[in-house]
Amino acid sequence: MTRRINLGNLALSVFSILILLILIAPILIIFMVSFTPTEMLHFPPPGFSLRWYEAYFSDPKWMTATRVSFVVAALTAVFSLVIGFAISVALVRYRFFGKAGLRMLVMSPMILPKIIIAVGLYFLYVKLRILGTTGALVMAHSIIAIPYVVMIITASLYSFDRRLEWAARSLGASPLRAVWLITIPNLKPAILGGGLFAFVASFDDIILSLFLTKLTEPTLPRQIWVNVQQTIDPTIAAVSTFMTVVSVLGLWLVALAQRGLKKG
Amino acid sequence: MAPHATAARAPAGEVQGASLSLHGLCKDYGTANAVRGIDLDLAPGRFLTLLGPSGSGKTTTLMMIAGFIDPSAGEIRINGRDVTELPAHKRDIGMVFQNYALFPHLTVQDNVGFALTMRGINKRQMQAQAQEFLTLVGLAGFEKRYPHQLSGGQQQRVALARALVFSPSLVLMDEPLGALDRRLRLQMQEEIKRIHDELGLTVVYVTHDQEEALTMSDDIAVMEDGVIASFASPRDTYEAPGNRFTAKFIGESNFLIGFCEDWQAGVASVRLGEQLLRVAAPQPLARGQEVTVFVRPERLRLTDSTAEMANALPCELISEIYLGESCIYTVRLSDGTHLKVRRPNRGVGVTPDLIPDLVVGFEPENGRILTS
Repeated sequence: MTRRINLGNLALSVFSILILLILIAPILIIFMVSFTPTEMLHFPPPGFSLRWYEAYFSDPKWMTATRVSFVVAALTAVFSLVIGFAISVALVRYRFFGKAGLRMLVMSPMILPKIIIAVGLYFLYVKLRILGTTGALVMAHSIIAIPYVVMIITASLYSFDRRLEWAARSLGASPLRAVWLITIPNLKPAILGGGLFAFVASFDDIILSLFLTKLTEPTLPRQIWVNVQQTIDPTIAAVSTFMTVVSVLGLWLVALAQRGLKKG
Repeated sequence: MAPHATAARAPAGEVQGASLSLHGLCKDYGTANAVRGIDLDLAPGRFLTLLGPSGSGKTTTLMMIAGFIDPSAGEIRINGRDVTELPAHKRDIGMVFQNYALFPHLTVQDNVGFALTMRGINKRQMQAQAQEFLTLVGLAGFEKRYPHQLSGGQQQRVALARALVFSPSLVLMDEPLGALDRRLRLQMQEEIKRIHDELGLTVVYVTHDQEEALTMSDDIAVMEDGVIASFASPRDTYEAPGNRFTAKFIGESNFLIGFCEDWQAGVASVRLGEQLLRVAAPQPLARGQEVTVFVRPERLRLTDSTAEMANALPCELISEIYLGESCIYTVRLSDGTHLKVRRPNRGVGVTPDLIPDLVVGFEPENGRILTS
């Protein structure tokens, strides 16, 4: 009896570890390759060197792309938080005509193929003569980031006790002040989480960036794309590792902040 | 009529209670009517309880007074001033919520001082005043704690201090003691009454606990189905309820249905099968009118048939519930009606199960005629 259970547990453990390895393998391989001293992508790397990191950080083309990616992702996070919070409040708190339609419209970018959004926006931006501007790209990225924000913030708004806001208003806070001083601080974990998801949605997007950025000011993923097509050198491994570290750091920071808030 | 309703209440504190009037106040949610026309006038300094079962509209009424729910019709006046259109944050009403609604991210001090901060009072003065009110509710020394570090009773006190700190003349409380255990609830009832007396506030209190309503209020408005079924002092509400709903909702009650045979000088003769009962009835009654005779269980007596009693009905003992300080007996009359009788446990006399020819009875002044 116990033998069989143990065997089952063992099989499950082996299976789980295999799945984890398969999931994490590409990241591990890229990570290791990025330290290769050779001119070509080598796995396993024959030695250890930081030359490709040096190549990355000293190349103005890579630095421009990095700057663009960070600026666009940060602006996307802020913009989609503002819009997403307002939409969430409307969806949770109010009854109005077309509410179900609005919810579907807002969430649709999650299931729509990104390429369709990209092509549509490309023609729209050409018409509006804003193609290639930072603002236009931020708007485009916000379209795909807002569903994440709305999903996370509506969930926590539903469980937020409205009487906290009422209490603030009975004590003399105007409705806007009550939201600012009471609601938003208490939704901080959700707002941080939503902001991070929006940041990442923008930071690792390639499809919209391919259509909507200028070649002279690409995002990091687009620069990687261009690089892979021209010269495959280990710089992209270094860049990819850097991007992964940024994402993981972001996640870790949010988790830390949320834990701190809960303790607070 | 209401002995303890208007006891001398010179406000010792700096606050003078506000008067409150509601006229034709209604709220309908689409098809359902939550509140269907509330009229009441409350004098300054009174403690009014809105009492009723859930769904009777008491909380909706309270939230309309506070300004969180817009009335569909009607008017709210505080100190004679129409505030129906005034937003909640400009009404200067103190509010205590069912689950306290303390701000979890703020310290006790910042919770209590919130209203002062909103009024632009500087931090030093805010802290001093917050401390003063924390002392009033017996929580001095807790300034730097967070709400989740406090017990339920302490959170309740913080909520109370927070609602009082800006000296509102009207304070609303929505089942503030609902989440506390019985012992703590009794203690807080006293505390709230003390503060009410000390500050001379006008309080509107919502509860579904009839005992709480009886012990705390100057006036009780019993609500049923979105309207006020009865508005009277606790004593009148209990002793002389105006209708069956009120009688049933407050305390235990017995009803006997019969026909009025005669009415003279405040006493009605009511035909109940073979029996003729004599019951107090302040309002004149028409001959032949169907009436309900209402008697509280503690006003009924169980004796043998030889005892002198105006109204005596032969009965049969069905069951007994032992409560310690008293016993509740259920008896059946010859027509099948069940009555409840409460007998204090005095430790003397024969228990009803040993009485031959058992009768249940009452004097005329212990009964009441209800016509609705």
